[in-house]
Amino acid sequence: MPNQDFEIIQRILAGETRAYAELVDRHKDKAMTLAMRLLKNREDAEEALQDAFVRAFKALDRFEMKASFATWFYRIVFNVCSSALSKRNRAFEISINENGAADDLNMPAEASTPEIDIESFEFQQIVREEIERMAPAYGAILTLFFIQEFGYEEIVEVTGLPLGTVKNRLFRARMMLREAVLKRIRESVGEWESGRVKREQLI
Amino acid sequence: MNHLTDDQLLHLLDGTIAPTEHQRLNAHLAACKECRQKLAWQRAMTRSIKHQPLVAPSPRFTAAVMRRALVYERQSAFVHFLVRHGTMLALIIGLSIVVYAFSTIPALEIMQEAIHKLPPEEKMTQYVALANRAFAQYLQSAGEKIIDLAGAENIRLFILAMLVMAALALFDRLVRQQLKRIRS
Repeated sequence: MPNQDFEIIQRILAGETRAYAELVDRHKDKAMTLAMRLLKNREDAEEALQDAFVRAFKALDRFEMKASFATWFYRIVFNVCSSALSKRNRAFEISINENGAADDLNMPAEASTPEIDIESFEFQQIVREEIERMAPAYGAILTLFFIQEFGYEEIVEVTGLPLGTVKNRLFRARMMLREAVLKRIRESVGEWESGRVKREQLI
Repeated sequence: MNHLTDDQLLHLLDGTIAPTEHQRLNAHLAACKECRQKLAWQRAMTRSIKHQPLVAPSPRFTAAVMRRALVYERQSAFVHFLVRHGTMLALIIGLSIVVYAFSTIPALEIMQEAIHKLPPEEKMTQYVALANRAFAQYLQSAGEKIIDLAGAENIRLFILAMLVMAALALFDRLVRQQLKRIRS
């Protein structure tokens, strides 16, 4: 995969500018997913991503072939989205406050997991909705880890955060997501149960 | 043994746990239904996150990026040319200044002199002939000037032009070195 990126970059630097479209096509979906996790708005995400791709194009002659293009490029995406978020409001700074979500994470050891088909479409949908609702800083780390399949070191490079913060934030993100999904499922099961009781009473 | 912590569960899932610890935790899992259930949930969550559909940008996204990139490339072509061919450009500009200094001034003088000498009634009809004559005079005069190049004034001008060219070339080299340092 990275070799293909390098090959395209070499063609661009040799003067075949239009080959950049291939590079855009290779990375746009994953990058858009990251931008959406950060900005939570399709138009803003697309605009930021365009800016990021144009910036990357302008700086392409400074890219060192030893590094991974993905890591280098996602750092640009992350920076552009962070700037856009900071301009829009201060939500980003607030959301990355490490103490903010700590109270919500302590799942009781005895808490039971409800009976639900974890392969079902409903389950997938709940997970998706809850990822979309996550604070940008957590949603972005989850995306970098699971969608981009970046390791801790690469996430450090992309976000500029210390290694400890990255590990901590990823752990919190996973716990928060698990809690949110469990809560949603318990509510759904509860609603279904109460509905069943009412139906039985009516019968 | 106590139940597995969330941290241990995640390390088990990610495969980032020491082999000895792995065995110990697996032994607990074999005996503890609650931890097995939690692990199954976390595994399902992880699988679900990994398989979430990607968000695709609009179909015209790539075209929009390329439009902006190509506009930038056209705009910056002149700047790139300056950076890459700065020394050569400085030499050409310097030589052009030298050639201009030695050629245009006598030509103008000769043309003006020729026009003043014309009788008014012949101005229109003999315009082309006079222009040709003026040009011929210019060539003759320029030839004389070139022969006179060794004059003290011309030598000073020549040295000045060479110094300007050298300064431009040096400046160009310094700028390029600085750019390279900043980029690296």
